[in-house]
Amino acid sequence: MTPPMIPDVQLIDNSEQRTPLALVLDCSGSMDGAPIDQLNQGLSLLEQELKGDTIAAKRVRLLVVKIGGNDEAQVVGDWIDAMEFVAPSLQAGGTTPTGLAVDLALSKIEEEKQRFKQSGVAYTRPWLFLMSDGSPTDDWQGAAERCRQAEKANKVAVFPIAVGDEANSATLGEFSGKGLLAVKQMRGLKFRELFLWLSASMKVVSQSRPGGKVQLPTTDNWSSAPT
Amino acid sequence: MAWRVFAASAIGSSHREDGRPCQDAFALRAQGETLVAAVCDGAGSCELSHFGARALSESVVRSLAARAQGQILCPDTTEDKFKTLVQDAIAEAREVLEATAKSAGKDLSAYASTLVGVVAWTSRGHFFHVGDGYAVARPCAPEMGDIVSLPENGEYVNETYFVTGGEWREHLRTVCFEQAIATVVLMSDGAALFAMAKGHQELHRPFIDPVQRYLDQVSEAEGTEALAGTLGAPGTDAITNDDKTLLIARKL
Repeated sequence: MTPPMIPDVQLIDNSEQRTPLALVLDCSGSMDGAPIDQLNQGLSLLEQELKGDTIAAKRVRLLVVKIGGNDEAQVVGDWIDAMEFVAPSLQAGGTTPTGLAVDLALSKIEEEKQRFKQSGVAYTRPWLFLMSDGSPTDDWQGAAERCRQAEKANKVAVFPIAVGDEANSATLGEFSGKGLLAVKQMRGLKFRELFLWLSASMKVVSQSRPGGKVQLPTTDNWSSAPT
Repeated sequence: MAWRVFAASAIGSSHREDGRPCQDAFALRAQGETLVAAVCDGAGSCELSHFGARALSESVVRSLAARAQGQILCPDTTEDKFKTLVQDAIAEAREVLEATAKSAGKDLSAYASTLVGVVAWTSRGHFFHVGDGYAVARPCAPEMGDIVSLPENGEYVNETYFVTGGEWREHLRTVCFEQAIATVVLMSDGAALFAMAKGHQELHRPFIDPVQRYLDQVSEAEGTEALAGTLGAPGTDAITNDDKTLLIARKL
């Protein structure tokens, strides 16, 4: 028997809560071919997965920062709610100015937080997802230091992902206070599994409530043993 | 002028799926024109927070109700004096819980819980609050606007403060109201997602107005059952996977 319910009650989510996710993606020349195609498919999968989750669709905010070109970092679109997000079709080419891209992502994250504060929107800790298949080609050390500081000050959670054998895990690790321990090494080109993991993680984080340690899904099916 | 009180907790979908208990709890005493009530929200990651939420809400309400009955706490009580009385009640509740924790070989933090509560009479009352959740008083003259005790979170919405924390005194807040009140509502943050309006300055009318109309027409037992059904309705799962508690006191 269905329990009785009070009639005519409107049940809607008034919370206006957000979980920001900045994707900093290596689109340098070495990503050309299968890697960039699979990265693009992974982004489409992220779009579908988040849109398919009622709560994540409303709460997750996405930003894509592209690394590539002639030592360029570029915001693709701007911050956008997952329900409005359309996965871009990224082209590979150029160098890997990782430092520039991380600085850009950090400043876009701070801007977004200021907007949340001004409009009274509650938010969870932003994620900075840094994916690369190579080594930075710019002066990345300053940006890495700023990224570590931001992480230490609890301003952002940093997730460096190393793609392929040429990825410089040691450098990626410099962007987190946890160093190499923070770096996940992707096995082969498991972009699909990586983005399924990211979607599942975002669903968990966007739902998290005070006092709940966030239990992220396992990375076993796309990442090799702890690096 | 007696209070009619309706209260229910509904387990969130995440706890239902994991086989964990509902970690929200409430306690209340309504004697004549005096209302004493509290809602506690146990921390999701703490194994015994459901026990902590029950013990803390019950203990704090019991001791405040005893002080009200003994006239130590009455409509003339100043806000400062009230805060002292609440601190005493919380300190007692923590001591009892600490003893329980010790004999179970646990740390007090295993019982982490927030607390939001009220002591109200016909035309005056106080909210007390540690951490998140909401307390709302709706005046008899609705144009006065709702009186709200807001949650205190860290920078991030999924971080808050607990009664079991070492700095609970710094995080204890009180709000005094001095007008004729028609409705008092306490809620855990799970219920607040749909019971509070955007901006959190008042109750969400399309939710609370039909609830009040219905509760005014039925007995406390019927109203409580329907409130539990509403909080547990599938529609709430699309809003939150957290536990949901609502305590509504109407003065008729």
